[in-house]
Amino acid sequence: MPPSTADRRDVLVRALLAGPGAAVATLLAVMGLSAALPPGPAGIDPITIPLVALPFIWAALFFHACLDPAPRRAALASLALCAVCAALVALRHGGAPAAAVP
Amino acid sequence: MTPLVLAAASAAALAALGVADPKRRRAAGLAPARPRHRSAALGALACCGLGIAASAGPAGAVTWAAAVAAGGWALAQGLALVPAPSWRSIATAGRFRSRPVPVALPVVALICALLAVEGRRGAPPDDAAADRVAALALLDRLERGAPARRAAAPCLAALASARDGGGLRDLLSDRAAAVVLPADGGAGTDLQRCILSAGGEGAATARGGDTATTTIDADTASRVHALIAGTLEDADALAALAPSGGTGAGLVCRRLAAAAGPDVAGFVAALRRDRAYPKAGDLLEGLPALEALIDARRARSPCPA
Amino acid sequence: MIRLPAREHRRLVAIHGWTGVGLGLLLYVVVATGTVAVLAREIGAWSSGTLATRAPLSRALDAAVGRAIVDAPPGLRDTVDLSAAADDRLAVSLRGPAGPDARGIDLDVAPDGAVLRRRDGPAADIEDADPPGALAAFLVDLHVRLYVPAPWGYAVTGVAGLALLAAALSGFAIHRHLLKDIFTLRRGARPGLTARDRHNMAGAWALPFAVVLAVTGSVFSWSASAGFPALAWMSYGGDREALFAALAGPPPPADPTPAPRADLDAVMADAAARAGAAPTYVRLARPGRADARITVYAAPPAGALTGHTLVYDGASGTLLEDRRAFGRVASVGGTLYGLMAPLHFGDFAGPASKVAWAALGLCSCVATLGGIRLWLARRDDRASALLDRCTAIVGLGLPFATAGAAAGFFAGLPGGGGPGWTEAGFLAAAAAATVAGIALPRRRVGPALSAATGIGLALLPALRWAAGEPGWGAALAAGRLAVPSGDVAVLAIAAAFLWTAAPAAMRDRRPFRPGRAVP
Repeated sequence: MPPSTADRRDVLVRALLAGPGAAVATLLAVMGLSAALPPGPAGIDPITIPLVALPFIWAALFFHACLDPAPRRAALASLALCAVCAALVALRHGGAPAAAVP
Repeated sequence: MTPLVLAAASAAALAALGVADPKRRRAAGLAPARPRHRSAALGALACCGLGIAASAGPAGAVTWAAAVAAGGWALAQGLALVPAPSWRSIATAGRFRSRPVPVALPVVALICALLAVEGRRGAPPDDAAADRVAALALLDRLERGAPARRAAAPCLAALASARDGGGLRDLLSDRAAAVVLPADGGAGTDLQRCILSAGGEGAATARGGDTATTTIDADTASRVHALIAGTLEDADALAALAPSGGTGAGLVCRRLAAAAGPDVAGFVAALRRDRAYPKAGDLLEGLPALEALIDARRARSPCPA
Repeated sequence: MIRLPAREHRRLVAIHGWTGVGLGLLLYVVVATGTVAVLAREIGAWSSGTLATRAPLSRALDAAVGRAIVDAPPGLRDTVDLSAAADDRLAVSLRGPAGPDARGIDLDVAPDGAVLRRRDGPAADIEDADPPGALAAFLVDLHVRLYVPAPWGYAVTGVAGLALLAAALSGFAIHRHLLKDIFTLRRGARPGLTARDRHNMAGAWALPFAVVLAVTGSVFSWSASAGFPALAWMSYGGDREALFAALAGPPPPADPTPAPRADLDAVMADAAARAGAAPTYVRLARPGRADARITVYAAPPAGALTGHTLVYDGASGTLLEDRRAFGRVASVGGTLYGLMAPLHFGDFAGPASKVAWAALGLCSCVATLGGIRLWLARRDDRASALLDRCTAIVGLGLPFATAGAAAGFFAGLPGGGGPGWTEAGFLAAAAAATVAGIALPRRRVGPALSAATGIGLALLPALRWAAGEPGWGAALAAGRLAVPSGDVAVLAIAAAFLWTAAPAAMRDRRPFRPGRAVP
């Protein structure tokens, strides 16, 4: 049975989501996590924890994009994550001056 | 030693796991191993892992896990070389010859191990380097601790000539002590200087006949103890280093010759008379080597390289 | 291992296959070079033929470092880094203030304190130009960024890391009998089944290791290429130096008043005693000033994964900080980030962990190449034939090119050597392997490259000796096993390659049998 147009669109959406989509969302998530985390006793948690979390965030986004039965839902989840993280980043940049981070 | 035993036990457990593997046994036409055999092997392996983690720390545990994985892979390849009658084609002749990788792997692994051991030999934490590092650290501590040792020297000298009472033993137990010394002589002066070094309070001297009894309260005793303890530890470390004859002994000989002499001599007498210090036996065994080093230096003989 | 609905299972199989096929060769190159890089120190000891036995940072350093500082112009005394170089020499790097135009001086100091080599100029030009250590440095650099300029090289290896993670996790999910099949290798079965067993077995045993390596490797690669720039932009206005300063702890208030330097030997001795292990790297910041600092990085003590970092006042020599993890005091982030390096390099427990890491690296290589071959065996089109040829060229061309790099290194030694020779050797051998791989009939590519690699490796000990490096007699007399055992290891690997090539060559000489498929 040849793949239908809808199937092909699904594959394309998934490929975009799992490839460039996951990459962009991971970068945003890392930055958002950095903005949201408290500095911790050494003042380095906002740098180190997001970097260590990076492969895990990417893997979660990648496999979710590939496996969620509804690609649209995966896209919405990614978009929501991006929006929250972008808001966190914007708050950080709009609020305190950059050098205030220890 | 324990990690070695546990590593051997892990290897045995892994081999048992491979031999009891149900799929392998079924293919070989053997009765399948009972589940409890496999469970026992798995349990033994897990126990070895826990044992390694307890005895060799997290680094040992991670190394063990990686070694089990690598060993398991090699073992699985090796087991596949053992003829299994029920596979469809069993032309085992020449199979060993045509599969060089499983043969070469252990050889390469062994050589890598040799290489790595060799790399380790040149690495800092071992052998001569460690000996030297320990010597440098000790010399540094001794140089910084010189004023404290000078303060402790009269205490040791005084105790060396104490006739009655526990002497060194009392002082090292932080209890109030009574030290009996000849009424006339240098020992009493030494004791006064010692008490002064320890703060100058908490002591009283009563004269009777040809002796003087100095009572020291617990506080002063513990301060004197602190003065002596540092010196004892330094001497202990020095004496432990001296017999090695290696680079550490050479360094001690070159850098400490004169400085260590009087300090060491001061309490050798006390120790010989009163083996109160827990490591006195070891220290007394090591001291002749240290004294020989110092004597060699005084006589301008060359130090060990 | 995981019961999944048929559709998800199919998708995961596709992910596993396509990551393996699309990025498998890149993954193989990164993993294989990493397997070699684990033993870089041992390879360095073998290739540089060092006969001295004392590690440079355990010697008395103060006089030599003092001379180096006094000899340098005041503008180049901002930081002085001390590390062990090949051939038991001390590498002293003096640098001016950081920045794109930073200048510096690099010195190689012999065990007797003599300066053997001095490089002077822009920092970017003089770094990584250590002739005796060139082979080991080349192998590490090849693994870290595949010789692609930064930051793109890091991005490429970062992609390989994520591909490994995707392949390992999807492989874990799709293999229904992962634990049941770990000892299943049906040799007598049809070739496809044997190949599948071999791939599954190697993949299953290497799985936890692959996940650890993928995560730690991705963290390193993506930190360098994207993470640090993005986080610096987030919190430090794009100033990456400020971010690194935050990681290292803020510097003390500037105080340019001249002050005597603390005795470096006393500091080193104290650091070694406190850390319970030998120092591996030392940084003197602003020596000769009142705000000087000495930072000593030590190897992990026995049983631990991470070592101490000790910060001393550079004027008085008093200890200021004793760090056990990343950051000035213990924190979750610091501890996690501090674990990345030991888990990736496998160098925390000496030879045992290194050998285990190298063996599992080999296991991962077998799983990767076997996986690609398995995927190709089920396909019969032009693209697959091309990929099949590429797999043969890369799979065996990489060991051949590595042998070429070593040959180039030894060939360059009589004339002073250096990284250029090693790189040239690698590139020439890689080019030769590519040309041979394209020109030869497909069935001859594997045996030919195997044989060439075997012959190349077998010639290395002779080349090493001809280049004036110590022979076995001198090495054994000096009590150094690195040289002979390195030679023996190279010869053993050469024999394995020749052995792989030989039966195929012998088969080819047999009379042609009709009906035998010739690809």
